[in-house]
Amino acid sequence: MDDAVPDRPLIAPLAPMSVLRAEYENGNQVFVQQIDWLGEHGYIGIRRTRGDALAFAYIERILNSADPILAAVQAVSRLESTQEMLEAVGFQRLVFEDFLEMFTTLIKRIVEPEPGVPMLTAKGLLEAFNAPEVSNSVVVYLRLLTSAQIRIDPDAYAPFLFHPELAIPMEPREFCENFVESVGKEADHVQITALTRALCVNIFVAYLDGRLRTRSVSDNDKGKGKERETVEVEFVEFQNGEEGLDPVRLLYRPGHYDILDSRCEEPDVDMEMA
Amino acid sequence: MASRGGSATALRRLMTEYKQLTSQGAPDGMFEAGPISESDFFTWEALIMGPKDTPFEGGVFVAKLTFVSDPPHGVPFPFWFSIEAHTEQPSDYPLSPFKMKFEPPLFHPNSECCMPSEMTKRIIISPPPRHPLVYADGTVCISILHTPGDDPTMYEQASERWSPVQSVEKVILSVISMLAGQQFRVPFGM
Repeated sequence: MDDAVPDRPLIAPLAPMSVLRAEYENGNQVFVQQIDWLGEHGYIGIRRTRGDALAFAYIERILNSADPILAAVQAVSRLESTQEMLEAVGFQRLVFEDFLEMFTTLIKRIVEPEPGVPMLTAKGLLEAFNAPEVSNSVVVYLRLLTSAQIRIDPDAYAPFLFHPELAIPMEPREFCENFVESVGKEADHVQITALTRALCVNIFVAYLDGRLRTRSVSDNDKGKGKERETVEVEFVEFQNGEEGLDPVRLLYRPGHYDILDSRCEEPDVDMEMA
Repeated sequence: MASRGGSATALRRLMTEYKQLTSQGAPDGMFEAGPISESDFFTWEALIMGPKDTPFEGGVFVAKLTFVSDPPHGVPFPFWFSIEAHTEQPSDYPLSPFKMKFEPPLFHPNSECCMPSEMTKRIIISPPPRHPLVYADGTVCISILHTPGDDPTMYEQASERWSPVQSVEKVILSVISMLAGQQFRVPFGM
């Protein structure tokens, strides 16, 4: 699960997709074609992560939204309201309140930072997340939130709780303890579903799998269906936010999530929020 | 940047836990726990009363809890013995669990193999009772003190593991129920 190179940052600055493309140039050409497909559809940048892509992307989306102050206020309010759910499933306030505080303090810097602390910018967010104490707090809280969401509504999730390697069904509590709450276990379909419901956000995940898709193509002349293999990147859409709410877009390769972007490099100037 | 021995987050969390333990106390007064000194919040001592109706009844067991960073990935827990050494890295508790060691090692309060002295200091003149989850040197090895990634085959699937929602109180209660519930053999008279 961990990247082998320890000196890569937890969250990297934006880079053009060509950097990723270069890694596959001598390998499976379908990967290269899928990366090109992404480029053609506006995803020209990638943000590599060694940490939790979703956690960073969640806050970045607030910063980049049309009304960042409103988005920040809504996010903080939403997060603070989740404490009840955590307590309801048996997590004591003392185990999670410090993590939540670090999380909301970071988001509040978009609106009104504490005295002596600069307003949050894209650069500031990147710096904050590369400090383990901050990124760990955000990640831990999101994991506890995911766990609470599953535990409080076990029937909704029970059919999907399987041991990722052994493929045997697991009880919600056991699944959460082993694959949700502990840091370092990769999020799968069920965890992202639970988290998007808890946060009321939209997350789209693109699967880079190096496989062609089979599509039916109708032959106009004869009116008969034919099958053809095409290059396509499938996005799995987890829609639990308001309609039209800008989604977080992630790129998934086995064992790893990165963040997709329509920009190929970090914005030049540190834009101060008015 | 970080205070001696640990990060600011770890310190704050340990202070909160200590505050809660001192204000609420343990259920039925079953144990006490806290830092050994106000200047080092990363080493605690716990006094655990032997549970009633068990061979440990009547004993007071002293355990040392050390909050240090985990060893590098891949080093199996039972083989990492440098419990005394505070590593250079600040503690990342509660992301990582703490280490727990009975000092002196577990003993059987009422057996003839112990020469009784003061309540908390007993001289063991024969091997201490072997408990499946406590090493001979007193190191406690139960599932709640290990993250799921840590030697996943060693514990039953259903046992509780360490995660940031655990706490000193939960672990000690786990240890107490371990003392109360487990089968063990006491070597009487050699």
